[in-house]
Amino acid sequence: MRCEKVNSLMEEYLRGELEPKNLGEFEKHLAECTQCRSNLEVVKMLLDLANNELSKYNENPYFGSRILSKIEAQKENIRSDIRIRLVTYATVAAAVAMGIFIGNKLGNMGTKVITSTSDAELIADDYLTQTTENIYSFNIEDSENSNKK
Amino acid sequence: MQVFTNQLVKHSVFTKNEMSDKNLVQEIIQHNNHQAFEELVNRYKKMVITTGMGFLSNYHDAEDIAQDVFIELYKSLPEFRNESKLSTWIYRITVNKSLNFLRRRKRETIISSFWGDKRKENGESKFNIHLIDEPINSNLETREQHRLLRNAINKLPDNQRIALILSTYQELSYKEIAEVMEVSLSAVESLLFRAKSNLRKVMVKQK
Repeated sequence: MRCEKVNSLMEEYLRGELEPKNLGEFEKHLAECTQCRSNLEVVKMLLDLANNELSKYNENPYFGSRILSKIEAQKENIRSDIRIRLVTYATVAAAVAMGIFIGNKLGNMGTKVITSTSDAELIADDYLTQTTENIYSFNIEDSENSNKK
Repeated sequence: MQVFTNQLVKHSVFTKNEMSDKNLVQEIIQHNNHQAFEELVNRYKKMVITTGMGFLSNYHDAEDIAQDVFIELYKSLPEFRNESKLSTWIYRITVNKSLNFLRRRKRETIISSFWGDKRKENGESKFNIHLIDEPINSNLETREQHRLLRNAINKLPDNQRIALILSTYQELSYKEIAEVMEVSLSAVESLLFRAKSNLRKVMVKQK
């Protein structure tokens, strides 16, 4: 029997589950191989350690329901995340719309909307305050004076 | 009690123990049946927690890992194709979660060892984290042996450690270990042989 095969049967041997047909060869190999004997000691310690650690296992009857409530909590978190995102998007959209509206209003404050001809005259008066000489106007007084001369 | 036979019957009353894993999975996927999921958790919780204990040597950490395993299982059940056994799949998730936990803890230990020195200067203890469960019902020599062995297991390469824990803590056959690890039978034999030889070398050195 090879060392690897002997090692693969160690747990069964220590648990008393090794088939009788393998037992003879197994023990013969152990009697001849120091390393496998040491390995068997290690496996014995390993099983002892495992038994010791596993003896701390507690049957928790609420384990399943605790996991379910965690799953539900995670789902609720995802739902509220979505709600928060939607509210955020809506707020940003509303702020942008409001910005555009206010911007429009502020932009229009300097300009006057012309609704009638009188409005147009008023605006024209505002912009044309300086009297300019009209080359086409005819000054009667001046022309009369020049005739007298 | 009526035995569940028709998978299309919603919220059917069933004898839990008579439902196969496949039927339970279908109940959960198709009808989001919480009762079926709870049954699945109860069926596998011991397997998951004790596997976690093999890696973490601490019951409470193992229970935390088990919660993550089942939450992950719940999310990924629709992807389960029944190509392998459900238990094999759960073992894989458990092993991955446990190894990730250990990696995270290692990183934290490195960081805390830096801050630990600062704490020491401030009169605080740096040994207040990640306590390993002490073996019970054992004398001092055995406890010391267990501690050395546990340290040696933790230092094994991942593949050797996984094979060793599935073999020792779960008593899985080589064939089952090969399925979980997706390697050949001879690879499992070789991994376990090397793991035991490495542990022997460490333990002999300590004597």
